[in-house]
Amino acid sequence: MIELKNVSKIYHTETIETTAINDISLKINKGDFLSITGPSGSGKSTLLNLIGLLDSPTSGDIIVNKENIKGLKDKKLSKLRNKTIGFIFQSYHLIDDLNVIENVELPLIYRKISKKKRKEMAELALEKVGLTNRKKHFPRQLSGGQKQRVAIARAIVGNPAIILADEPTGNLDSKMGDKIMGLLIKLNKIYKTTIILVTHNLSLTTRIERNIIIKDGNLIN
Amino acid sequence: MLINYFKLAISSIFSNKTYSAIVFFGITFTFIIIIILTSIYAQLFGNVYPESKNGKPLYLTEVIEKNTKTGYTKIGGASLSFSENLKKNMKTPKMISIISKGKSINFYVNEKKIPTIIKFTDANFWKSTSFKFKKGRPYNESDFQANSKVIIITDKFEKSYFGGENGLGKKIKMVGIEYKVIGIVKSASSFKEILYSNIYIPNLDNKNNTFNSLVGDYRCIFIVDSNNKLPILKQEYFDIINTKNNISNNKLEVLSNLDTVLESYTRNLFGNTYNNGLTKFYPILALAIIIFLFLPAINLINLILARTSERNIEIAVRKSFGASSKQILSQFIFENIVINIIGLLISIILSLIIIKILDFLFFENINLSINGFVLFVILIISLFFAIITGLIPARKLSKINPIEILQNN
Repeated sequence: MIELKNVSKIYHTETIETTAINDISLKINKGDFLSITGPSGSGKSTLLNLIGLLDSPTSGDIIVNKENIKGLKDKKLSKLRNKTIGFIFQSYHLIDDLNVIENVELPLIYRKISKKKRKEMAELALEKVGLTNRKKHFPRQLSGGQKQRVAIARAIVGNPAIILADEPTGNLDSKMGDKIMGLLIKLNKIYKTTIILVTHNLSLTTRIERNIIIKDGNLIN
Repeated sequence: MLINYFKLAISSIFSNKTYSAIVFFGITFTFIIIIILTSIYAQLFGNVYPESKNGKPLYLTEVIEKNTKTGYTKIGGASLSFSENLKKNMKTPKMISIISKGKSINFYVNEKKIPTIIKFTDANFWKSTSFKFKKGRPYNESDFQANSKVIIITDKFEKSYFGGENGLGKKIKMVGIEYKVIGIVKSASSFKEILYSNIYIPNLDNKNNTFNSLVGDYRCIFIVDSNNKLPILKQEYFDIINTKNNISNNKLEVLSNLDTVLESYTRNLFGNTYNNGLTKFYPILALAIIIFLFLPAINLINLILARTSERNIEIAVRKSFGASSKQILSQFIFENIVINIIGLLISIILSLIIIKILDFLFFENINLSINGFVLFVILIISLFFAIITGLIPARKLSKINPIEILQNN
């Protein structure tokens, strides 16, 4: 579904050349649940940017659904990102001025979907995370765990091929963190949602079948 | 999507009230000045009350006689004999009316001085204008021929002279002669210099026309059916002036044109007898508007830029969920248009109040109004302003790197 072939990302400054990702090859199939762990500065974020189609590699190929993203224009890439990737962030990043259901609808407004259909899809996503009763609330009226569940609903609403969860439990206490992890596992098991979890918390990875460790830009399996 | 953007624009206005107040102050202040200036422009040059509604008017306001031998130049309006000659002989206009230049006189009522403008006109004057009669009737050809001692006064003059009483049928004494008021019209704006007066008298006086000159104290209003006939009318007049030049033994050169009100101004400022000056006027006007908008635009761009950091996260989220740079750009320009349109509505309301105050302060009734033309101009200018001021901040925002922003927050 998404494949990285000999991908490298090198950042150039005036004096230094930094290799953030070094010749990484990785294949992610439908229904996979994998974690990427590694210390700070290991290249996790760069890899996240690349898989999330927010950055392009210096060398190598990224193939999404048999399509090589090399040379794709911003419009096409944005469209592909919209359909393929759903993001979950550590700090939730809900839009404060929009209510819960409007936040969940966000990825759908960049597709040509009618308002009625968008609402239906958003309600279904909220049902999956168990937050239907909060749909008219604004983010400031929710707890951290509820915010993260809204963020998960937003990530899954458009049925993207992959959910990219970047430290999704980082801002939550361990009890709530467990619940969120449980929810992600449930989404993977029941709905066959592909999930990539990026974290430095090794305890989270114990519940995940496939773990990838990244260090100094290299994959250590 | 637009409803979503609209809601965001409204909530962004309320989320930082001080910022919004400064933005709206800048926008409304700029727009109010443009609205007032445009309404002055429309009143001065537009086809508004009391100009003819049954045709297109051109005016003869200036005749220059130049003695090519002695260099002696006489400048003024048209003489009565020349005006009457045109009225009798010209083919293109469906109507020609003659009106004198204004004369200032003072009335004293209850020891209060009433400065008054009087003008002498023919009977055609009421057919070549659209004056609204509040009471009574216009004077006609028989009043004119019979040299009836009748006058038309304006509502403003009626109020100041008769102090709220009905002036219709009453008499007003001027230079020892009593005139009966047979009609009361809604006053023209004093900006309509050719048509404006407080009292209109059906009498054309030829006593100033010595030496059979073409120059005198009168103006003529020429009415044609449509815009298409305007150049034909101008050409006919041009031919008449040239004939006058031919019969003057090359001694006397006559320079004169039929102009719209705007042309009569631009010809004086930027043109000459052979050039109406419009080709210089319009670029100068456009440049003046751009220069005027430049400073407030820079201010607004700076204000928006200073605030964009608050919106970085929102943009980053939108981008990561599939918004293209172009969509982000459109969102911000749309928001800026919404803010500008709200500013525009506030400006229109405030301008209406300012116009009322100006009318109250100036007895002469400048009659400014926000008509379709003014609304059209301000709408175009505000859209242009909104797009320009939204574009620069929006371009900056559309280029942010989402993950960098989202991980740092």
